[in-house]
This record gives sequence, C-alpha cells and structure tokens, in this order.
Amino acid sequence: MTTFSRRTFLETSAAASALAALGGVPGLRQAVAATTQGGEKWVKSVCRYCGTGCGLFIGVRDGKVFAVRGDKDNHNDGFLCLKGFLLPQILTAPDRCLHPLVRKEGKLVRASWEEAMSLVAARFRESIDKYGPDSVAFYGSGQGLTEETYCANKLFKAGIRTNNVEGNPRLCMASAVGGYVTTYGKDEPMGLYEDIDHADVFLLIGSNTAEAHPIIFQRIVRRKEAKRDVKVIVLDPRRTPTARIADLHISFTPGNDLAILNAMAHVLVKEGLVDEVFIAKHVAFGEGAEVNKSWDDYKAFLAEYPPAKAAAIAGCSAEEIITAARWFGERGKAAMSMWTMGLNQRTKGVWANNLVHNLHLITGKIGTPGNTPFSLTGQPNACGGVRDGGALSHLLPYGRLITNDAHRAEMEKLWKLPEGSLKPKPGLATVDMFRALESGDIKCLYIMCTNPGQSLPNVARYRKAMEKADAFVVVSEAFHPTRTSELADVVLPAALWAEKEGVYGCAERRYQLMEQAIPPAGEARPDFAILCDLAARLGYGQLLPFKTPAEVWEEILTICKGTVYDFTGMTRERLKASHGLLWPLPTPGHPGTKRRYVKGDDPLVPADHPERILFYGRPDKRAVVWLRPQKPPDEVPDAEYPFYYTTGREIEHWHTATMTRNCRELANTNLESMAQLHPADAAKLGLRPGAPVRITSRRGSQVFRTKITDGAKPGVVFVHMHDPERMCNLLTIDAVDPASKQPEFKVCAVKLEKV
Amino acid sequence: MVIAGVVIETQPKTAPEVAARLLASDHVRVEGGDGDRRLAVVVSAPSGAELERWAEELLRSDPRILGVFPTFVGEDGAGQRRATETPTGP
Amino acid sequence: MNRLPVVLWLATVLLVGVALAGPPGKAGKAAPKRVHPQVDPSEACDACHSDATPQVVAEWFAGKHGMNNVKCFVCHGSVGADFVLRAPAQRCIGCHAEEVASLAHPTLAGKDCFSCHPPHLLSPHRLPLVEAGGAK
Repeated sequence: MTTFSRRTFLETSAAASALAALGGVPGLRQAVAATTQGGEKWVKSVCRYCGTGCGLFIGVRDGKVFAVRGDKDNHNDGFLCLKGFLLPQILTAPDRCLHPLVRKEGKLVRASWEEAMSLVAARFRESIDKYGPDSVAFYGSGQGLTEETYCANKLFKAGIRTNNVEGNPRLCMASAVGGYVTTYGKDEPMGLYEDIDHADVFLLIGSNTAEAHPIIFQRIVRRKEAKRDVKVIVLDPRRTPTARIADLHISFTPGNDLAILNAMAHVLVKEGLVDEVFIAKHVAFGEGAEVNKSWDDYKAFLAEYPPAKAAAIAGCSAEEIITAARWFGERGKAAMSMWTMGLNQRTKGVWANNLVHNLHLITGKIGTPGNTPFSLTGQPNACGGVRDGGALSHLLPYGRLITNDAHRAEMEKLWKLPEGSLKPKPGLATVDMFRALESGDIKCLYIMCTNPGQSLPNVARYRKAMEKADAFVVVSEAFHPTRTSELADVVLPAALWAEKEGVYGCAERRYQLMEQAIPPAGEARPDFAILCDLAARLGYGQLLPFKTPAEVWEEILTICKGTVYDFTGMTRERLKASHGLLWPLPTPGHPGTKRRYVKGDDPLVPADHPERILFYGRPDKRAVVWLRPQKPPDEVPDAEYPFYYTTGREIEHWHTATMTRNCRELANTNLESMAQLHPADAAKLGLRPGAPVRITSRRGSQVFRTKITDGAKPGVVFVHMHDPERMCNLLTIDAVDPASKQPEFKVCAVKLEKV
Repeated sequence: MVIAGVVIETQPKTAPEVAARLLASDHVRVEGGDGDRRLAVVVSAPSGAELERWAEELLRSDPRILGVFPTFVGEDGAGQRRATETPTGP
Repeated sequence: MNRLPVVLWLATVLLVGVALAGPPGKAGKAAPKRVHPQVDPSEACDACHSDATPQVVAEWFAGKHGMNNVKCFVCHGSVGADFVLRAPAQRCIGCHAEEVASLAHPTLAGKDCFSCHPPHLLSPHRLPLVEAGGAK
C-alpha cells in the first residue's frame, strides 16, 4: 500500500469495479431481506410523532415489530423523517411501564390492575361525593386516539358532570383554534398538503418546518425543485435549518411579528395588491370582539403600520417587509402560509393567527390550489381527538360549545342524557386547572398520555402542585419514570402505538385508522379499555358500553352527523381500505373534501351557490379581518433580565423525548438541552462551546452547557424542550393568551451568568 | 479530487462511437466495453457534485447515452493533505 | 484538548475504510466491521467530520438527504456497537422500500444501493438540487 500512490490505487479500483459491473460479475454480497416473504406481515398505520401524520406500514415478524416503511399511497409518498424511521425501538424500550404502580409510604410499588383501578375509582368517587364533580379533572393529550379521547370526554362531562376536561393541545394549538374560530367561525384549515404542490410563494412564520415537520418541509423543497421561481419567505428570529431554502429570511425581535404582518398588509393595500371584489363579497371587519368595522376602518388602521415603523419595532428592515409583501401579493401567484408554535405559544397568539388569515383574505388568496393559510399541528391527534372531538373545557364534540344552550341540548339528546345534565359553565383551562390542583379545589386529576411534569410552563410550580399530599394524581403512561409519572399516586401501564387500534386525525383534516400490529407489552392496556373500566367502576358503564374502539367509532359517526365536520361516510371499513380520508365526508360514496368552503369541493356549499366560496361557519357567511395592533409579549427583557429566552424543538427528538430517547441512534444525539447563543453574546459572556452557563428567569434557574451557533439571534437564547434532566420549562412563563388560554412558551426574559 | 468507476449504457451498437467521443475528454479514461451497449470508464472530478454535473450533462447532450452508473467512488486528496501536517498532540 | 490527532486518525481510518469497503469488484469478501472512535455524544457528527471527511459532509449536505435532514445515524447507526460503515440496504426501507425490493431483480444481483448511488450525495441520475436564494 505504500509503494504506489493512493491515486493509482483508486484508479485501479475504479476501473476494476466498472469492468466487473460490465461483465455482470457479482460484486459485493449483501443480504437484502425480502420485504414480503417469510412469515412477515405489514400492518397499515400512522407515525406516532408529529401532526404531519405520515402513513406507514409496521413490519411484524415473530410477534415483534422489526421495521417500518413509509406508505407510498399516502400523502407522504413513502417518506418518513428520521424519527419515524426509528419507531420500532420505542416498543421494546427498557423503561416501558409494564405493570400498575401504586404509591405506598412514599414509594411507587407494583400492584395488580384490580388494586390500582379500585383505588382510582374509590378516590374519584369519594371526591365527587364529598366535594362535587368539579373537584376532579381530566388532562388528556393530542396523542391519544380519537376513540380514547371521546370516551374520556363523555365520561367526565356526561357521567361525572364536570367540564374540567383539558388536554395538552391547550399548550400548542389553542391559539390556532382561536384564530380559525374568530376568523371563519369554525376550527381547522380549509386547505390541504396538496396546496404545497401548487403554491408559488411560501410564507413560513413561527415554524422551523425543517426540524418540526420534516416531511412537509421536504414537500416544499420538492415544489421549489419543480418550479424554480417559487419563493420562500421565512420569518423567524433565529436562522434555523428551515432558512436554508429561504429566498428571504426576516429575523426580528421575538414578539414583534404582529407589526410585520400588519405592515405587510399595509404594503398590499398601498400597492393595490388587494382583491376588492373578494373583500366586498366575503369579508367582514372587526375589532376586539365585535364585527363592527369596515374596509375603510381597516385601511385607516393599517396606515399606522408603514414598513419603516414596523421595521423599527421589529428590528428588521423596511425593505425586507416590502419585498415579502410584494412576493406574497403578486397577482397570479398562489400564496401559502404555514405557521406553528412561534405564533401559537404567545399571549397574543390568537391575534397573530388572525393577522396571517388577514393577508389571505384581503388578497383573495384562499380556496384555490396553492392559495391558503395552513396551520401546522404539533401532535398526531390534536386535531382529530381533542380539537374536533371537543375535549377541551369549553367545547363539546364537533364544533359545539358548552355555553351554547342548543349545542348542550343536542349533545344531551345524542348521549341520551336527561335534559339539563351537561353543565353550562366551561371548566378550567390547563394552567388554571393545575392552579386549582395547587389550591386544593381540584383533588383528583387523571392524566392520560402526556407529561405535564416536564411540559407545563413555569413547571416547578405545577410539579409542587402534583406532589401535594392531598392531591391524588393518576397517570396513564407507556413509560416509567417520566417527569410526571414519578409524581403520581397511581401509574397505569398504557399500550403504546402499534399495540392498539384507533384513529388519528392530522393537520390536513385527514383521518387515518391505525391497525393493531402486536399485543400490548407486559400488563399494559389500551387507554380505551382503562377508561371503560373506570366508567363502569364509577357507575357510568352505560355511557361507555363499548367492547372495541370500532364500537366507539360507530357512535362518533352519529355525533358528527350534521355538523361542519360531518364524516358520517367514514365507516371503519372505508378507513381500513383507505390511506386516510379528508373530512367533510358526509355520505358513504363521498370522496372526501380537499378544500373547505369551496363550491364543488366542499359538500356543505350548495351546488347552486352563486360564488366560488361560502364561509358557512359564520352567520353572516363572511370571514373576518380583525384589526389587531402590535402588542408586546407579557414579559420582555429589561435591565435585570436582559436576554430573550425562547424554547422549541429539534429534529432528533419529539416532545419530552420519552419515546425518542429510547432509540439507540437518538439517545446520545441532541438530547441534552443546551443554551444556544450567538457568537457575539458568547464572547461577551466569556463562554466557550460546552461551557456551563446559568440561565435565570423570575421563575427559576437552570445550568446549561453553551452551544454557539451563527443561526442564533443576538440577545436571544434558545433552549430546546426535550431534555428531562435540564428542563427548559423551569424558566418559561405561564402567562396565557386571554382568548385561547395558551401559554407564552416562546418569549420571556432571563439573565445569563457564566458558572 | 473524486475518482469514480462508471458504467455507461448506450443505445444498442453505439458504444464504440460514444467511446470515441469520450476519448477526447482529459478527465475520462475508457477502460473497456462490450462493443455493443456498455462502456467501463474511469472519471476524475474535483468533487462529487462535479461528477454529478458531468453525468447529467452527458445524459442531456448525447441521445445515444441511456444511463451513467457509477460503480465505485473514491476520494483522493484529503488523506494526502493531512499527511503533510505535523501532529502536535500525543 | 488538541483535536488534530483525532482528526488525523479519523481521516486515515475512515478513508482507508471507504477504499477497502468500496469496490464491488473485489468480490466475495465482506468489509471488516468498523468501530467508530469514542466521541462526546453531545457533539454533532460534523463537528469532527467537517475536518476529517469534508467531502462526505459537503456531498451529504448538497444532496437530498442533507436537505431533508436524514442525518448520519439513519444510515450508519449510532457511534456505539450498532455503528456500520456501509449501510445494508435493509436500512433504507423506511423510505425506499420499493427500491430496496427491486434489488431482488436478477440484473441487480450482488448489487446494493451504493453500487449506483454514490454515497453521500445519494443522487438519482438526474434532478437538479434546490439552490437557496440570497438568504443571509
């Protein structure tokens, strides 16, 4: 090897290989496992992780899941991101919770199902009888199956008769819900992923799509490859991997994006890029909570947001804002906006959502291929189970509201309850719910499939609440310990993903059936079975008389009938045969709906309607452009706490990492939360890469190691949410949007000190 | 510098003509062929991306060429660069 | 700590490894199992590999897998006992099940993905790559 050059070696090898290939001589012998033979089966399902909802097949051999492969017939075209790719490993994780646990003398010890469930039922029954139904509460999850969440919702609201039913979508999607409902009258996007294939301009705001929704990002990339003049505008204080494909990346100081969005609207109006005909036919204007303004009022409002002024507020340039507006508004170009937590996790989250919808409404860029505002959902079933299913403290299933007398009457009839059974007052939203646990107003809390002991803002406060001696906390969870199960009085082992069947509904109104691939591990049971058991023990068995999730689905079909969700045609058989179906889908033969509110596509728009669009969600059949001023976040930097603190996700891990940290390849990759700082800030603080830095907010303090990155914004420190040992939420603020009650995870003020 | 072994598939009977054309390239060496539809060549390029561009250009520009298939890609140059530096650690 | 010796060693080990494992013409012998050097798990792969194997990093980044964040460990496993230098085709089925199944075709006998798709660009034979515009 040392007597002739490397180059010669390479050339010889290259020639040899090419010649060998020419002659058809077998090269490397690599075993390629057959994908369809030999005692394997492939079960159709959906990824366990984000709201993109990628279809996949789970490979089972000898009763074990050995692989997954993307479903080529689903929207993801056979692709999976690196997390989905590694899913099989979560099922056999060493910290799977396999047996019920009950706390005795301060320690969680193994118990039988009978003992655990008897205890849960007894404590809940005691509390209900002694202190009333509102002394108990349910905190569920956008990862629960639709049938499970439906059962919990019915058990608590109709059986126990408390509206204290909440879920972690309150922490991620509530502002998006608020935006859709205030603008269009009803929740959920009107477009679909396919709009990506037709858009000419993408506005990505408050979204690190490349890492949080990788398969959607991939679809945007493919669109850009297919059509070279497609423009991507990214609005984000940080320059994330998403900005890699940006034709324009606007960095701004956190919380000041409302000014930018209003300024973009200002430019659209000034340069005549608005559609006055569309506005006259389909748009109303409002301020505060009243729809009592006019197009002229709106224009006068926008006069307060010239680009230069917004740029000064937001710390960007006027030119950037003008360019973004011109690209968005260019006539003949289809514009698609996408956003997620950057807009939602804010005390002005609903307003931020409204302002994105405004851009589409004043330009008329809505309801045609490629023209749509599109909210990206964080969790796999926040839409299907919690939002659509109405499992929040102010909702009833499928667009109904607790405070609406007619809606309550409808549900009482459907659920065969005596008139007046359902409580007319909404229950407590999440942060208030945990505060009620703290004060003792709530005595028993049932937590299903989520990890509030790590994911709540200002988490130390609410961990204390869960630890209280007189708080009885039940946690149904597939893993133990988690930062929540470690605080529980009872831990119930829950079946995980491939171990149960049910429906997930993803961001594009696509409902998909996940079929069971393997039996539950250990003594784990599906949450559906656990809830039916609890209902029976509490004396409400007649409300949850279901033997299988399929039976629950049959009932759900009767509940959605006649609502704007109407998916009566989505029978179990149809779901089994399909690769996901988009609602509305009101009759058995209906193909599903690509674009809502659009004549000829949406079955709820009469075929003889004179216009192409009908916003039937609101009584006046118009969508509302809301006049929302720039207002700062609840807590911004000052002399004492001079840095912005923001949190978010990275591609390797999902949520609180209870699943992803069990994958070999991911366990040591990016699990540690680090303080991500701009080089200039690091230099000023005297911090080298890896150096410990203490970050302190008014709520708590934590030491992180330093990660220096050019993509960081000076003055802003970013810490990801995945690390159970260095919890970013010790520092975050639990101030909430007054309309959506969603906390402001994205912005608060901190100080940094070299350790 | 990237060195690749490549098989080029051509329309039937046209491999010799394509070979003749490639002889003019100074970064391509024709190693052999089957006289009909396949050539084995060794290509050098500054980078993998350049290799890709060369392959695309070939496919685009010559209708006789049906496919360009690398069978081996090796990297030269990085190892040599390192060898001239003096290690300073243990 | 001076990283240079690690880098030198990495460069030598891995480049020789690629050359040894590479040519499919060397029929019959499976490549020896490579072991990844011990590294700080919180560091990203390119912390060392930008220096040790810059070509590899650049090609990966320029190709579809880099664009879409199909990171190193997806093909190579972790840096622990499951590390592999040349990924078996089975690892690709998460996204490319049909293509992997096509390897069973007689004309592809003895070939794997990398017989034709150069690591780490992993390109098909045509398709332009996305170029970002004037982003700062």
